[in-house]
Amino acid sequence: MKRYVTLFIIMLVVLSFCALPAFAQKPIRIGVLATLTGAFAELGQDSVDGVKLAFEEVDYKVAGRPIKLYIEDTAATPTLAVDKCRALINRDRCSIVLGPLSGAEGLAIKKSADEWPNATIIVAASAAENVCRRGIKPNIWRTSFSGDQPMFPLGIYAYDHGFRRVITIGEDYAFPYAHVGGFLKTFIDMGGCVSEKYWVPIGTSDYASIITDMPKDADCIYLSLSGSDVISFLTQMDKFGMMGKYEIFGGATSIDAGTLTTMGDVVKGIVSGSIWTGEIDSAAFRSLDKRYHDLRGRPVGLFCGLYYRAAEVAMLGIEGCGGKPEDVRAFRQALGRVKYDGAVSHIEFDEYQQAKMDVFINEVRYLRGEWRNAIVKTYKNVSQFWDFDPDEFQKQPSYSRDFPDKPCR
Amino acid sequence: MDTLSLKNVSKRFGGLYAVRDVNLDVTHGERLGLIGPNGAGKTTLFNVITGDLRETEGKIFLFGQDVTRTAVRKRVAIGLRRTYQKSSLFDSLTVGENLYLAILGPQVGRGRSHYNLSRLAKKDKQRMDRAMEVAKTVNLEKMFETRSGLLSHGERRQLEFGLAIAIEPRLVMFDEPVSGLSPEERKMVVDMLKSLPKDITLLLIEHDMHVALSISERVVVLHEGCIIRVGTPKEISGDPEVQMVYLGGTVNG
Amino acid sequence: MNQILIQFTNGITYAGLLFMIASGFTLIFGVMRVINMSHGAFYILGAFIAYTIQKQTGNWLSAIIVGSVTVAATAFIVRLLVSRVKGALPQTVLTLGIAMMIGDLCLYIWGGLPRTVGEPIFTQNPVPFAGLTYPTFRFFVLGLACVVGGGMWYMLQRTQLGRILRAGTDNRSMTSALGINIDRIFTLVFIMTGFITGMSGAVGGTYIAFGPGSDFVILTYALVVVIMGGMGSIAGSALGALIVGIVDSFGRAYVHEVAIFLLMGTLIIVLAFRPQGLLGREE
Ligand SMILES: Nc1ncnc2c1ncn2[C@@H]1O[C@H](COP(=O)(O)OP(=O)(O)O)[C@@H](O)[C@H]1O
Ligand SMILES: [Mg+2]
Repeated sequence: MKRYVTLFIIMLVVLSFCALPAFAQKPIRIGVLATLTGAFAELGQDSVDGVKLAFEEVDYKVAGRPIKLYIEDTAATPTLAVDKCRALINRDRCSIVLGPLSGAEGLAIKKSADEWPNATIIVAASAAENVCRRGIKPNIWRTSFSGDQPMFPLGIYAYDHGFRRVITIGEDYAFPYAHVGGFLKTFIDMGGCVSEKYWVPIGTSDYASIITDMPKDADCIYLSLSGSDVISFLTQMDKFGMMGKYEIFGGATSIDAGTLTTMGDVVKGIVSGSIWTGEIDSAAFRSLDKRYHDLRGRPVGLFCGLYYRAAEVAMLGIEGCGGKPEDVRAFRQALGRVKYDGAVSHIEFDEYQQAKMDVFINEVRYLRGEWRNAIVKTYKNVSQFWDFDPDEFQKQPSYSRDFPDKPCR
Repeated sequence: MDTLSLKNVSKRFGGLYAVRDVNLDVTHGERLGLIGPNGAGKTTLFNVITGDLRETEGKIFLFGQDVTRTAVRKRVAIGLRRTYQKSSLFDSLTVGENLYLAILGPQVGRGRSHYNLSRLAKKDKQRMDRAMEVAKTVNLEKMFETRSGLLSHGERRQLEFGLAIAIEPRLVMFDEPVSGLSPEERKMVVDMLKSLPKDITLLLIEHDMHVALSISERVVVLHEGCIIRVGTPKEISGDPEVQMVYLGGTVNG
Repeated sequence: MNQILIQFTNGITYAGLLFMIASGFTLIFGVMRVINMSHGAFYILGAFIAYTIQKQTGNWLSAIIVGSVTVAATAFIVRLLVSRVKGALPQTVLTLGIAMMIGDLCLYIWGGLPRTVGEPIFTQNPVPFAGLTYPTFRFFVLGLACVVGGGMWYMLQRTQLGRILRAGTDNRSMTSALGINIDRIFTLVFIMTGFITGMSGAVGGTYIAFGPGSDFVILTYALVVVIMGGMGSIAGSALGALIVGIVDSFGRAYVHEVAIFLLMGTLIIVLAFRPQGLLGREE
């Protein structure tokens, strides 16, 4: 009899461990791939801030389960991104990974995606053209934009404002190809032409030879430079007295909050296309902006916004599948149903698991004691294919130095 | 007080003793020849004396001072000079500038003067004048403005000699100063060696027995790192064991 | 014709800055055989400090001076650390470590945004040149580079220190054998290099944006110029900088897609015929 009592007690203990309420309390493990060292360190810090700000709002609790974050630095290197992603999924047993940041990392992750059928990767910032295009992976979803996506409307906008002959200046790698490509696709489609294209290596410091070589008969410049390159270029344009000689249009990362803080009035009036803006008048945005401002002392920027958005969409997905992202089918179905009215834009996924989003045409203005990107026009719910036919679109070559092009004569 | 005194000095490269338990006293003004076959450890012994190599064991006294732990340039500052078996000059500098540095070096080392960032100061004029005098003693005054990289082998040997004696030397060590010279050049260097003032102590490694025996008052024979004989040139040249050692090694002259 | 003149001017004004960056680097290599991997870090440190001082005081000149002096002091500390290690290779590795430390320190203090140093008043009006308004500041940088180059030439050819430095570049162990305190000379070289490089950073940072990561970009420039011109040769640095500046400038304007290949191609051709660089000497 005594033996039965012991057995009974053991059974009881085991059962109580397995009980469902206990299961529900197990944390959801979410990995974050960010670039915390190297040239993109600041962007990486912003990304992590974005994720944390999102989860702080809900006290790190979604659908009754606590959230546990695992943050890894990829140093913006594709191989490292894959390694870290593998570590997050296999070692830390993350079921969701937010990130990575750069284009090449995004593609590398897509390439290895089949390794991780039981995790879902929500690409938070990588803008490589083909992440959700020309062959998709069930576990790769993207809340950020494809490089060309925010540029389609800008090409239209430039043409509508009377510009016909553009000089493009971009860094010599895939992201600017897509950026310049998106702009040119619509700009040429409308009837504009390319006066000259310049491609420079990342980290180019001296732009004098380009500035003094630019054709005089062009009427606008389209700029896809980032980080210190754009600042060097604009500083030197200013020193050559060339600001104002051409209208300047900028890519999504060219005229971001960082550029604004550093450059001030030099960049006044520059028009850029972005999926981000400092001027949305929604309660959600004002709260995010304020919280970020309290943290870092400047307006909230693109990368914080992108990772914030990825985290929020992930939360909606988790809620939509009853708090179990480990059940990948349910979680991904829930993601497909997400209709997120976020801080700056409405977000939903297309059938290629790529988010559609609002695109803002911004102009640099001095507002509330700061240089900010002010919205001059909004294009709603822009698809990664604009209004081109997706099948036709995917048959065209990937963007490159030479595609698309239409030289002025 | 001996000019140089070595107490149980050994130098080992891995398992090989290049110099083994050498005891040697050199008196003021002495002309000491150091001979031995190739690989006997002569150059290594020089390197240990100058401090270019650190001895494995033993102690070194220079002018009565224990210099076992003293840096090369400080040994130079108290009067030690040397030449190298393998010709060693500042090739892109002129003969004059080479000599100038040989004069400047020991002075700065002794803390007597500091480096002078400015133009050739008055002191430098004196040094340049002294450099010219030295150039004359080594018969290079015509080459004073020539880059030393352009000198012939014989002229290089002359200049190295000049560097060694340029200023206030007390103990000069020559490592095969006539190797590779023509008979005339050889004679010139030998004459220069012979004409060194009597209060400069001289240590001479020389493969050429004739040269070594004609200059030295006392000869030390090194073999496999050990001193095997010490004696007058006469004693050494008649010694059968020395003959053996030399025949066993490579004979030269 | 005007275009060619302008591209040529772009090239030589750029070369001015490249020369200032490369000269200190080559000097350290020449006498110490140490490839100073913290060279780029010296540059951005000078730039960041000048940025802060310029922002606080509005005075560009004092910003440049404070930047240069601080980096000179940093270089002195680096030299003390380096002298604790024996051998050129371990020393090189150590400078790489120091480079990373300085880079991280800059990131910690100034954050990751790219910045530029505010421009001095005296160059704010562009000058008319070849049918263009040309930035005065670029001419100023070229002038400064000439002054630095001239000063270095004078120092090397005409002073006692210069003789010792040339001697050390030729045959380092001989300098000790002549009783020269070459260690003290190394320290001096580090301090001078720090000063010039800090100044290059402060001046270059006035028209070229810098931030985390720029340190290794600058290091790469220094390497390309110095390898082209010959490791250890100051005149080689000047020549290397001119070639890099001009090739880069024309390449970027006329064959921009292959500009970087053109530059590297030039480097490869130079190395094929002179592996030791244009004015370098064979070891
Ligand atoms: N730096 C060194 N490392 C290892 N072995 C050495 C070194 N220098 C000399 N030796 C060895 O020590 C021995 C003595 O060499 P050395 O002093 O040059 O002879 P010598 O000058 O009498 O011809 C030789 O066997 C030589 O190979
Ligand atoms: Mg020898």
